[in-house]
Amino acid sequence: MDYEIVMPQLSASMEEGRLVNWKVHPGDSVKAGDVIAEVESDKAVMDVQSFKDGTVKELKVSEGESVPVGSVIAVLQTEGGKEAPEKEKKEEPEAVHEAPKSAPPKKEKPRKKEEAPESVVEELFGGASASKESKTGPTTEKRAAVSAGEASPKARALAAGYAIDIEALQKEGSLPLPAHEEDIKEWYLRRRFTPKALKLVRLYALDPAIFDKAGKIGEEDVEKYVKEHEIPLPKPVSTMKKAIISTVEEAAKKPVYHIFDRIDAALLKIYENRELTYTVWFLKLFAEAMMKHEGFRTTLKDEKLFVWPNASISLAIADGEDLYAAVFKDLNRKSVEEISAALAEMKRKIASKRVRPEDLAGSTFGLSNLGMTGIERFDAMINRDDSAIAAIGAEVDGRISVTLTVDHRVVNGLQAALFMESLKTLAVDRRFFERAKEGGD
Amino acid sequence: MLYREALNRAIDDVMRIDPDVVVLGEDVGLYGGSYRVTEGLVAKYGERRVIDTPIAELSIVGNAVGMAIGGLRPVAEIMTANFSLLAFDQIINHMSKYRYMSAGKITLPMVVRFPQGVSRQLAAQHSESYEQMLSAVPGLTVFAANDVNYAYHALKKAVLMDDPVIFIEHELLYNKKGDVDFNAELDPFKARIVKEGEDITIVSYLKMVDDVMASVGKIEESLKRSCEVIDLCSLNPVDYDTVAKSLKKTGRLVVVEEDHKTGGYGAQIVSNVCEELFYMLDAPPLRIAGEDVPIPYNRTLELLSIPTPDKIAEKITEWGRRNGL
Repeated sequence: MDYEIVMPQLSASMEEGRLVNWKVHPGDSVKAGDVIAEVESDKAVMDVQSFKDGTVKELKVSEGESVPVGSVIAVLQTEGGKEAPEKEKKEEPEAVHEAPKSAPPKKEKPRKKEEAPESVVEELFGGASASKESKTGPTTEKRAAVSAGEASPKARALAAGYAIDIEALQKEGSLPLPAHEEDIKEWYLRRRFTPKALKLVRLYALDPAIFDKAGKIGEEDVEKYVKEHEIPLPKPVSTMKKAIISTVEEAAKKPVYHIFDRIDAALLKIYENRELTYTVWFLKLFAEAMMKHEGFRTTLKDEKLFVWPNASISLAIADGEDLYAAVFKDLNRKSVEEISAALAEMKRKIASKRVRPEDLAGSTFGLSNLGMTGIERFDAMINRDDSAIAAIGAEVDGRISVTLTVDHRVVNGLQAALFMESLKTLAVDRRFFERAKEGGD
Repeated sequence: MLYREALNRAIDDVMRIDPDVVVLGEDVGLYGGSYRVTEGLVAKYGERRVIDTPIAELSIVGNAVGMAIGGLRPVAEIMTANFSLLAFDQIINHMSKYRYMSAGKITLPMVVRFPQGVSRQLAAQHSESYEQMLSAVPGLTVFAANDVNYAYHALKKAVLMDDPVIFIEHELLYNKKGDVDFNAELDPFKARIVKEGEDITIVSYLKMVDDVMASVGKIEESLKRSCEVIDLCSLNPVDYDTVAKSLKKTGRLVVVEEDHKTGGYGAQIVSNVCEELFYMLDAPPLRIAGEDVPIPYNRTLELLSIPTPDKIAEKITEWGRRNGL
């Protein structure tokens, strides 16, 4: 029985997925639960498991390719039903072995098989025609239907322009039968360009016709052209980048305002260390303030407001070009040590591209800390469903800048100002720091 | 809005602005039309303008021709295309030729509406398609409506045009939903690009456009190529410009029709493309059409006799694989 494995929907917004790499090859046997591939969704790279035992029959998608959710990516041959192909494969070589004298194992065989029809084709072209039909059976019938020189009208017109002799090239096997426009183009490009040059032409999406140099065009010719004509390198947009673009566009539509203030960093400086970084302390500090101001635990969806019982914060974590809004849940109930451990774990997940959709959902408030880079003050864009985000700058003269970007539909200016007031009070409250070390609530 | 409602609205709108417009046919008045296209019109415009006729197709079209000569704008309904055969003398010898025979002195501003095609188990004598015969008659304009918006605008324009128009509808489309942009300026002679694509041009019309659209996903998935789908809309004259523009891009033509394959309408499209655009073709054109049998009554056989989305997908995929895709 054939069992089809499809591109899974790994998040609600996922429409297509990119196959990052295959963990199996055709012919491998897999068990239910085995990871067969890694797939990049709009959010993260995740494993795809097989739900059945079987043998990999076919991989339908190549690595790096993006396909829509639900399309078949691989076919498994499962137990029961057609076992025949499996058996045939085993028996066939033995039968054939008798013919060649020194029987080199398996590998030789498929090659032999491919060679056979080719020589038949040559025979046909050589004029020997179909005299040996009985021996070669159905293959000849198929091949005999087309003879050298067959090409589509479009291919012919193109070949004429390039002065290409289709018939001669088909006889020597350089062009397929029948030839189509793409075959002629491909052949022409291979003749005009060195393989490396052709790669560059494709990379920069250049029109091959712009090169009028006689003789073979090399890598250096293409590079020269690119530099002289200032051709930009088209860069493929990753699924992650696409997701970031749409999230940010969504965020830009929110009616926001900004509130700016500085908080005293004296106690933060005392309590901060390698484990309990500024980021950890800020997560806890904001979580504490959020518990006092329910507006910052509120989300707006379909014109309805929802107030969440705990403080969950999405933290902006950049990994090269990728940007994650990693969510830390129920921070009000966690000690700073626990938060620190959670942060470390999240960073590990990001580095190994093992972030799961649930790691990126469920927050009501966001935090972006560029303070460690020395940026003094900036403002951030609100994450997906959050109602506000805080942008934390660097410490200057014992004070740290905090800019709140707030969705005015959810939280008004006075509420935001009071929230900021709570933050400032907590930041200078030694009891808060002690309590935070012990645990939550 | 439903397809039948769009047609109703089109007739209603022209009747309101032009008192010369009259509707005639079997059961178009009190009953509201077999497919409810003329529903409510008799109450609005009275029995002098919405006329129930006897079951006599020759006289329906004959009377319409007479009315048109006399200065009215008749919209005649043939209950189903098969019955139109009785009216073919009027359609071919009179409706299409009067303007020519009178050296242009007489115009025939009339429309004959043709519900046709394989519906659901109506059997051989109620399932025919006659676009191939009607398009072969010089002097007739032939429109075929798949799209709801097109149905509204094209029927309105057909009634207001001074030349005779055959307006073909498909019996399975009457309840198709769609939006009508009442303010649009639609050219009924222009083909409609239903979906843009790069590699295969699929030309179709009437209900088959929907079946093609239902098959396109599968085709694109298995061939990893994209399809451009064109709804011809006007079957005579044909908007070959739109077809040519698409073929320049794709180099590959598929025509899908419900009609029987031998002598079917799609042959004309393929023939024209081969004559005019031969050097643009990168694959032999493919025709997907109904089988050369009277349409069977049995539902299984009925579906076997005409293209379905599955068959369309299968045939195009197989043809693509054979031809370098």
